[in-house]
Amino acid sequence: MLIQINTYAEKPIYEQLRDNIIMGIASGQLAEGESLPSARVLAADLGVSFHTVNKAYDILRSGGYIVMDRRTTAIVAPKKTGGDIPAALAEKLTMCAAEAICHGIDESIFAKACAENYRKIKGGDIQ
Amino acid sequence: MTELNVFLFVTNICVLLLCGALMPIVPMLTRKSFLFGVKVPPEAQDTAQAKALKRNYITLTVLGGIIVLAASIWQYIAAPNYTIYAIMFFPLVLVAIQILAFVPNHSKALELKSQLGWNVAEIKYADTKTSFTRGNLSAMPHFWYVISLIIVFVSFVVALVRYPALPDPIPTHWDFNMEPNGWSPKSLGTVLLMPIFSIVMVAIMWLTGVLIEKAKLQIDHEEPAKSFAQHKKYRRLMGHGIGLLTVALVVMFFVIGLQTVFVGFTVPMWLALAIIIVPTIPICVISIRAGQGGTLLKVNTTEITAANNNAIAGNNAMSDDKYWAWGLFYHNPDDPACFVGDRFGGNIGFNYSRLPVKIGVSIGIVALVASYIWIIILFQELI
Repeated sequence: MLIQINTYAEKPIYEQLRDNIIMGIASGQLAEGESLPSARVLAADLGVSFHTVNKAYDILRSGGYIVMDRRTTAIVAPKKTGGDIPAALAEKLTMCAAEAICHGIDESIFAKACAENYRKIKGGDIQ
Repeated sequence: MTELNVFLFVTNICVLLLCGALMPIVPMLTRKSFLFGVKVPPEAQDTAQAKALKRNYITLTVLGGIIVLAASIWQYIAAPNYTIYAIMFFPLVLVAIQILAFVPNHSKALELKSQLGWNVAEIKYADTKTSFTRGNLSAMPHFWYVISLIIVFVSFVVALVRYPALPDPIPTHWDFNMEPNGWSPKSLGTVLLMPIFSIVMVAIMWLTGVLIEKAKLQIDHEEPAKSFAQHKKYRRLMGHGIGLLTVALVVMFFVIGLQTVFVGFTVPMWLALAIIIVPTIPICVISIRAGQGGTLLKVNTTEITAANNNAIAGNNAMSDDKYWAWGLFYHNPDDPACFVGDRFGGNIGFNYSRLPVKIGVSIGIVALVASYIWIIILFQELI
């Protein structure tokens, strides 16, 4: 998968990296058990600091998206099935709903948009 | 001395013509995302302002090239014994002219960029499967170097087997008609000079190949997946080109070395030159047709997919231009990569903020200065 970040975006680089990788896993571009480049290599490729990449990997690891293999290689964590919504995700969903309400969006339209996104990403259609 | 001067003069003119012809067309070979080392949208290249800058650069370099060429012809007529200095310093003058013609245009391009709002998102790419900077060295075409080393090994064996039967002194230098005109006392060092030289050369060429493999790829924003695939293909082509050139050089040295170990056996000059020039032609043609970094290559992009691009809108007025001093020298302490894609002409740039690069470049400069001093001392006796 091709990772893309904008070094001059408002969104911090480590968050962009994290989102790239989560999106890659969700859309199936990064397969279960696939190894990711080491933090040093990825930092050199992207031209960003090693600590930035490390931070992104740390967040991904604590979120359960990747696991460290022999403490050196990051690999995509095994697929989970039928879980509950984790607290961090629930918080984000709450904020999304709140923002939607502020924009005066109908409940049905909001729910439809959520479902559409879900299907699109799962189908690998994220362009 | 006269023959040597003729040889040096012809070489000098050839080098100057080649460099001088290459210099003005570099802006055409550089990828469309950069205007004199400044990141711009590709459309900006077609504006009248950008064209004016390119015209200015072409005029300056063509003029400079003609002056240097005239100067070297005048030097040969006026003081032929000093041709060795011409061959040493005139190419450096050409480089200086190129930089002098480049830097003011770089500043103007920066001004134009802010005036006309030529802003481009500074997007960085990385592939999760292959690294751009650690380079997949196993993907390098090593077989060219294995072939080269086998030829070098054969030349060692031939030299050692023939050694007892050789006369003393042995011919080591030939004129244009390939009649020996220089002899050295018989010694293992003399006989093994060419094979040893070949080994050093294979090592240098292999390192060049490694460097190409490790240079960071510059991906164009419009179609990142396509650009990425082009880069990979281009890298493969360049790897084979360097490998082929290595084999050609080794074969040439092998053939020249045979003249030393088989007295009476001579190779016509044209053959020695043809061995090296014939493989160079396809390499030049391919690299010009491929464009800088393979931007003109046709590729199949289905093998790569890009991640979601929605989240990366940013401040497009900000860019990495500030890390490129004069648009030529990349100095970014945050970037751990040592080798990066060049913004003008060449394919490899250095990140001058990295310690290994600082050491390497210093060694290179010291070696160049030392070899110049050595040549000057050597030729002092001859002049």
